[in-house]
Amino acid sequence: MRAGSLSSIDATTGESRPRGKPVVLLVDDDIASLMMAEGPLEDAGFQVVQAVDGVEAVDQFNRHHPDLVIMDAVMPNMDGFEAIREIRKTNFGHHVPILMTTGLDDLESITRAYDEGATDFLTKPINFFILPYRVQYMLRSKETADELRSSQARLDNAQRIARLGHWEWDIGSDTANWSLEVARMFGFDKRLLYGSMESLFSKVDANKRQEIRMDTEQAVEAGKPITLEFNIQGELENDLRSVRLEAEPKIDSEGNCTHMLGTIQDITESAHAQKQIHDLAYYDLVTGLPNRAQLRENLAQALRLSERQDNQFALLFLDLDHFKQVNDTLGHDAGDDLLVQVSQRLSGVLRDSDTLSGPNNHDDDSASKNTVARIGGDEFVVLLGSINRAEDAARVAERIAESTSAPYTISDVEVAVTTTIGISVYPTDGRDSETLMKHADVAMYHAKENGRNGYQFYSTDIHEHALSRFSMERELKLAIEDNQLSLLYQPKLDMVTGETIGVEALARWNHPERGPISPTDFIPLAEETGLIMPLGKWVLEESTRQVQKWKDQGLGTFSVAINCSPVQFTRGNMIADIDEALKASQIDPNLLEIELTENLFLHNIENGIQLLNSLKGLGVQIAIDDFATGVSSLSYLKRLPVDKLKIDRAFVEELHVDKGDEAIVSAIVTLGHRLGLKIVAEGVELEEQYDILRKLKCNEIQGYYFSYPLSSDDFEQWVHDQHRPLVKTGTA
Amino acid sequence: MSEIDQSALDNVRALQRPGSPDLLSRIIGIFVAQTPEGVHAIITALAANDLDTVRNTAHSIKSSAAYVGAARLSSRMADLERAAREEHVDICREIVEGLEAHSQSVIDELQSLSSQDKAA
Repeated sequence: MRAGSLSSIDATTGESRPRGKPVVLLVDDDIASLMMAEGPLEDAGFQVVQAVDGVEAVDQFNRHHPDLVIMDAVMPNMDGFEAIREIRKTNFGHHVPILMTTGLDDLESITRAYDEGATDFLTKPINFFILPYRVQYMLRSKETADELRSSQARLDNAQRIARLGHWEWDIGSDTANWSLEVARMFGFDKRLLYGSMESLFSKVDANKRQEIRMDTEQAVEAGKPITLEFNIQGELENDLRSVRLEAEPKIDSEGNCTHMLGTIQDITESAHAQKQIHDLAYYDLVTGLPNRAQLRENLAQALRLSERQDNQFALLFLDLDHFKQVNDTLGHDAGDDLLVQVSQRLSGVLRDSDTLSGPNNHDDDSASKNTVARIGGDEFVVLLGSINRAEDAARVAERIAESTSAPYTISDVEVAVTTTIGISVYPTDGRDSETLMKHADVAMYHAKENGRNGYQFYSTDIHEHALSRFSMERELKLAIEDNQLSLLYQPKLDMVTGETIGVEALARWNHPERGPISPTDFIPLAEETGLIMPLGKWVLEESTRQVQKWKDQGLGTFSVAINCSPVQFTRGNMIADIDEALKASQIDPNLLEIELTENLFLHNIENGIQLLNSLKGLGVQIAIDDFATGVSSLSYLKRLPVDKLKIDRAFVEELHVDKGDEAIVSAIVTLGHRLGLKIVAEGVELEEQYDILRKLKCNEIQGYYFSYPLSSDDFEQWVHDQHRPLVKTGTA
Repeated sequence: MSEIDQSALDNVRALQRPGSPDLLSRIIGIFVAQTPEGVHAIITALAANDLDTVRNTAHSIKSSAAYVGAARLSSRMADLERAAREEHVDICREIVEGLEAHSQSVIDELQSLSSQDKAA
């Protein structure tokens, strides 16, 4: 009987398998063996196909794609080993189970059989009763393996579709293995699904790598689950993927974390989608600016921060005049185009104004940010997150009005719009979002009615104040540049000798239109705006130059006292300015007295001491001004390298009528003298005051009793006139 | 002494499927038809020092002899197969000495058994 003659492919019997019966390819050169094997296999429900040598076996295999092959080892015309090799090479032959039959004595063949890819072996002579059971067993194993393979394939597929991979980390040996999808995500070799945890970390965005490493280690130590989100360098170049890693510890019986089991999911798309959803909800589609919802959040944040930090902030309500005409005549697209251009200009103004809000606007997360929002048709709102003064808001409003009123080119047509702005200021005009918005809106309508300046504060007081301060600030700046400022010198006398020993230099501003402006008005303004820096520098230069001039003229050697603001030290470079003035004027440093108030030491005494030491290093004298009015702490006084205490004029004023004031002055003098300090009294207007101060052994005095502050010319005259009779010399 | 192991023949008989041609007589028929040819091939090949053919042919007769219960002939062929593989020509000659007669007696016995079977 020729092998193969039996074979025929049955039509399917209605089962889901393409073939009704499993097909077994039986290969043996021993015809008797084939004949005996056929019956039991067919009885067991197999369809049998036969071959008598290797060549025929391969041929039959390709024709019938059997479910299993029983292969004799030793055959003429291609042996069983070579036949297995050929079968394994074919597409259908990768996983087909092959049972090799060999002689019991042929150990070499058994080894070779496995090497060539046989699934199992059976010794000859074959027990034909057992053969079908063996075949069935092998087919079941094959099915299980197939299922495993397909379930693995399904898992891989599912993970690929979900962009979700899993991994396991054996902490003791620091080996990690991961699924195909992790390898795909991380761009790893898909055949090597293991490595160290570090190989995973190495793909994490460099900025966050260390943090992710630490977080993972902490989770291991604590034995706690973690969720981390970070970016990784993806499979492709410049492909940054957002991933979420979730991990759970596996704890052994002793409570140690031995493994971490986890997943990694590529969330790039969903993160992107979430951002889009957020943008749709919080940003205006036409201009890309924050919308009303986003403004509401930023406003709420500004309220929280300002309340905590005791800051002011401003809300500017903008309305585009003539926008409607553009929309009506040129169409909606043109209207949208205009809105976009306006929004760009607004953003530009805000960018340029970032540094405007002064020292309180720290560049960190705790500072509320400025926001430009579009809240309706032609309505924009600007939130200035932190301002020092109402003028700051006025300045921005002015810039907005200026910037937005420049012509626009829309659809080749030049159009002009103007902007009306209403401003509300927290906390004066309201302490909640609604009130502030309403008041800014109301202010905007007032501005429209008034048609002045283009902007209007809700509060009239603030408006007037801001305007006048605003203009004064500009004028002061001009005054410094144009030498509208002058210095007056108030003589200072030695109590014992009655001689004029020095002057206090006092700045005066003679406004060309408003006349003289009081220092109590313009000095605080100069401090707030930073104009104190050029002002102070000018005072230094001018006064030291004058004192040196008097000396050179032979008028006398006078000291000069100058008031310095803490701002000059904290924000300016006062030490360098003084050094420069000393060198320029050639004045003896000992003649320059720097008068400082106690406020300088208010916040940080160590810094204050350091500053005073720097001053002493220049050789100048230091006086504490307005002594006993501030937060005087006697304990720090001995640590300060100062030379003089200047008693506040408030104590001198009532000295002759108030015994309490006399006691205080007496105590200051005694204290100062014990500390080796000289005591200066200012504001002396009456002889009685003078007498008491002399009795109390005050060292130096100044005041109207002797002389008003004098111009340099008048001072020269005053020295010549020698107003000595007023001073009772030598009669202590 | 019988050359045939009856239990081996019983195994073949047990494989007989109802309605099919008689399996044992077909197996015996094949053995009877092929074996003299095989023995002759061995003798010729050995004379020509063609040990490969000796070995392969011995291997074939070894297994078909085993199925018909000719245990002694099967083990003689196994010895021959091994000697041929190890290229011991002398041993091969020793084994082949009298092989023709041995195989003929097996064939004779099988033929008589087969006719007895048919008679039964």
